[in-house]
Amino acid sequence: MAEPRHVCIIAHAHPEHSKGGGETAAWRQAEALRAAGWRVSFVAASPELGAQAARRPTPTVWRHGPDEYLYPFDGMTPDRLAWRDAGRRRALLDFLAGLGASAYHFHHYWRVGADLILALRKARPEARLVMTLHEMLAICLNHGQMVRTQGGELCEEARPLSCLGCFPEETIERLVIRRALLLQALRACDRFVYPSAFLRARYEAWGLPAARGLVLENPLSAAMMAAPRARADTPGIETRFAFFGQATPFKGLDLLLNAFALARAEQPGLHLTLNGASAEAVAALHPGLAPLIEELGPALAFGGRYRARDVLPLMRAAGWVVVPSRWWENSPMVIQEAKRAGTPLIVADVGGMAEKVRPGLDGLHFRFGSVADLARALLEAADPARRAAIAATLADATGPAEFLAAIAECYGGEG
Amino acid sequence: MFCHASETFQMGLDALSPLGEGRWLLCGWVMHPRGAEARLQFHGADGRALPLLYEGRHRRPDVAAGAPGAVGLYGFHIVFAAGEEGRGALSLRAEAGGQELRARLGDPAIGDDLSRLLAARPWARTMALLADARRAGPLLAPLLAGGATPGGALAGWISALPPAGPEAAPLGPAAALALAASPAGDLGLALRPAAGRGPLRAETLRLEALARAPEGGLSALPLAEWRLESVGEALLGWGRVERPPGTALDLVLQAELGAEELWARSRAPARDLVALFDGLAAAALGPEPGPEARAALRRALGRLLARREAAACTALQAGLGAAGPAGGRPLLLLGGVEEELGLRLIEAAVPSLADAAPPLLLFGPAAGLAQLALEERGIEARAGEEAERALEEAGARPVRALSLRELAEAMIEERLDEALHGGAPGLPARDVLLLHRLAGPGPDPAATLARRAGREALPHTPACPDAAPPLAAHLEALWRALPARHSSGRPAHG
Repeated sequence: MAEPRHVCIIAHAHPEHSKGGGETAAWRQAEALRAAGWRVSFVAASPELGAQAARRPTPTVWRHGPDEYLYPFDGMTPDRLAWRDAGRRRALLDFLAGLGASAYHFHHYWRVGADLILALRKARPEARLVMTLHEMLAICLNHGQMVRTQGGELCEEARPLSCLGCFPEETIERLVIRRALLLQALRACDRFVYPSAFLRARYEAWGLPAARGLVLENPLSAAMMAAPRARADTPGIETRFAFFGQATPFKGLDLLLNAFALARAEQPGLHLTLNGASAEAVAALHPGLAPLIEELGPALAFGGRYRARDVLPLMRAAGWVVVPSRWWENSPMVIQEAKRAGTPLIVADVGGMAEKVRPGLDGLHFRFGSVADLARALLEAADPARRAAIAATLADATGPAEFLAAIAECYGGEG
Repeated sequence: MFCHASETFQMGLDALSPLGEGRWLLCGWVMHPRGAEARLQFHGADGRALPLLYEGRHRRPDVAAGAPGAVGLYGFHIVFAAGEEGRGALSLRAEAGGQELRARLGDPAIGDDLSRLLAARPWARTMALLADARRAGPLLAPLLAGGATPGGALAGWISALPPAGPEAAPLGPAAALALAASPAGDLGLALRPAAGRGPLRAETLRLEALARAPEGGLSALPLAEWRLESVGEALLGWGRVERPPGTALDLVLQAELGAEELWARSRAPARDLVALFDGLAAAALGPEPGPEARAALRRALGRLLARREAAACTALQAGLGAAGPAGGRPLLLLGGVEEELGLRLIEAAVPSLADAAPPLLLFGPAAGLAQLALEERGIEARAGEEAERALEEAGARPVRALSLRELAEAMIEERLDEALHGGAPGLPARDVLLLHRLAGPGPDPAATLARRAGREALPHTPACPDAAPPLAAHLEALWRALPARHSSGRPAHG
């Protein structure tokens, strides 16, 4: 019997320790590949290990489980895009190369390092290097969001002088050199996996070769794909809105709360649950919202943190999942999960959100950044007939089977 | 040793010091009847006359004359050739107005420790010896030799003087002193007196320039175009020297501020033109200058730069060769090497840089670190002053220059090898240096070449805002005056 094909997945975090979309996608991919008979080594950056490494001698690679490894990244530059500590880079490189995988699949370059990617290319010239892009960190200094630092406007294209407007302390030289370094490293990859066509367009406009690109949605797990979808006939469900995610400035919670209050003034029976965002976190991020939260009273609930396995039941209990993000988004996992749950979505009309949610079929769009238009969408959504019609046409999420067929091609053939 | 013939003819012999190769230096003074010049003649053991090779004279206010109106008085530094004769065999005969003085130079009353003498006697006389060393050239060169060479008494005295640098700093009776030199041979000074010590007068100030060889030896250089301008109570000065290749410039300053003397030496690293004048202007102006002082500074700087413009235009016209570069592979010059990001770029470009003809020349604040990184990968590189020296030595060899930004752009556009190794061969190294040193907008030759190609405007961000307009005007005047093949005309924007 032939040895299974061996893929090494390198992620910027382990989903056991952080719940971001990128690491979750990386882990689900590993699960899908393993289930399909592939050997997968999962190697993830670990802030916990890095914190210890800063204090005392720490292994450069830590075995976390069977074919699961963690590495500290405290030897990297502050932007976590390159290694300052050549010894640590060398150790990680030797470990990765020594795994002998036929393909190395990076989920993100952050906490991985452009120089490490180049070094791995050199050390394993015959291996396939694949990169899944999760946001636009290489393109935009503002956390890869392509949103202006002043005013929060969406940015269409990163150009040095525009970037200087956002980051006056930078220089044209630094911006150009940064782009060159990241571009050179990413070009060393054989294939690029973009979870959205939007992201692909951005990266290819920035300089990645079009011929190596593939738009492929992050898969949900087989268990999630086997779960039941929401019933369409729960009475009053169209008035129950839910948000899933963390309270970060880019997630648009302020927008949602203001729009919800506006809509509720017109239709008092609406309810909103914030899952993943605690009252304290929202208050800390948006102190000005405290009176509004007070005023909304029981119409607003804080669901607190939730386990990954609970996301589908939580979504099925909601009439709508709202994604009010203040940036483009790539392919939010929340959208995939809502589709799987059978819960229609209300999303901003830009970027990956607009792409993934077909207006009138998978959900509703509202004008990006507009409180009034989101309020309008919430009121439109609160119509039972409208909700039922959209729920009936709502597409399902991408599952492992569809994903595996495409990804095997990236690794150079069938597994 | 004191020799007395009469009230009007006397002689003091302070020290006799060997200079090597059978030459001796005699330091002393002579008083002679007014109108009757003293004639000094040296003799060997057999009475034969020994040739006097150099005589330098200076004032000796410390020697009191009994009848001041009836005598002339001067100090001297005399070099004579004694061949194989030992000190004990040497004698001096002096005549003036029919009077005669004789001295045996082997007399132990004549000191033989020149270093001690230079340190102990008024420094103005040692400054006079330094001026004599400049005028006498090779004859007094041993006095400026480095520590490993016998002699070097003047070099030792200079090294003990209070240090000054190109940034304004208080020193003794000066509220601010700045002494600066550029690789092109520009020398500058700004001296602002402390309250109640000014205004300064140009005639109370002396400056000597020295070239310091890498092994430490000094040689005194003639100062050309030297001029001092008043800025309120301060003085601002500029001049130039022909700097021998591979040497650094030192300065020695003597100034009188009221009743006090100020002494300083400068061994600061050379500064580019803009930084040099910027620092001097700031030093001359002082903090919180009024409108009058600022206007005076602009006028003074304008006049000094006008002198520089005339000299530099002549040098550029004469020096920029009409002939193209010699054959051979171009030297690669990388400018703007700064910060960690720049180093990472250079490391990322190593596979392409490895094909460049050695040595790779690096300029910018992080050039030294980049040099180390490249050398660890087996690529020969030079940074900063070493890179400038390599350019000096390269003569007619062509130079291809890129800033790190241009290197990054080439990497983005996937034409790195073409940018590094393709295209026209580039200017001869000597032309690059000449252009850069006389009309360069900063410390980085790559920026000078970018200006030459019209790709970049001249950056001017002086610390002293009043220095900016005259400096910008000066540099632009130089670029306009260049032969057409060296100037793209107007500077580019962006």
